[in-house]
Amino acid sequence: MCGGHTMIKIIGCLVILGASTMAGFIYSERLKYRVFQLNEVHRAIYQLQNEITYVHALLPDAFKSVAQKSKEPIRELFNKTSELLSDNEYENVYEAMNSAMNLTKSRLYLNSDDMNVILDLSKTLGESDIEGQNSIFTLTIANLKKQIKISEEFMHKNMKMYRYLGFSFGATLVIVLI
Amino acid sequence: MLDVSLLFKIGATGILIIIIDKVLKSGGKEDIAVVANLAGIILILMMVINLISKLFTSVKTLFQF
Repeated sequence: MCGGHTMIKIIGCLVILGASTMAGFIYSERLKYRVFQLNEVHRAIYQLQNEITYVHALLPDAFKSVAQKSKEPIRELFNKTSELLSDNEYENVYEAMNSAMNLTKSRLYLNSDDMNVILDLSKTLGESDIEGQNSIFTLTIANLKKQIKISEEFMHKNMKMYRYLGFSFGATLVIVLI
Repeated sequence: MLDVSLLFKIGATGILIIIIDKVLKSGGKEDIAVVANLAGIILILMMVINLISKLFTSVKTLFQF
């Protein structure tokens, strides 16, 4: 075979292999981000509880001050919720939180179970006395802890798998194409 | 004369399919591992289907009087 031809072939194979390996790595990073964001939400929920039980802040203000203390994607979620609540566009907290979640969906790596835990909290926020809200907070935090545990186990189990799979699929593709 | 590189190709694909199967099974995704195995079988079948069709045509010409 002539020289230039094989060179292009080799480079193309390497590009495919590199791309698929990278895809595997990027996909495995998502699992890490999910754990990170869940931990961030966990902390933010504690702060929200403090804002409500001790400071007696209004919900938009409480969301805003929690957002200021949180890291990026979660900060945007709480900020959006606060804005939507103070705009008075929605009937209840649940709808505002839901649409804020839809707006920030592209940057949240949480799955639907995690989102449901947070949305369940927003269903009862502002519709009960402090004691009632506190019990809902306790429930939410317990559920979040469960989700964090699940997501950590999932991360440890699957992170390596996605990396190996990315490489293997790339190698299979290269062999088929050769 | 049979092309030897095809044998190497089939061998390499087989090894990679085994690796994918092992990795998926260790990750607890048995159902996807089965699908990957099936995909591997189809892949290798598609590689050899030309040879098989050639074999059949040559057998057919043997019995044509």
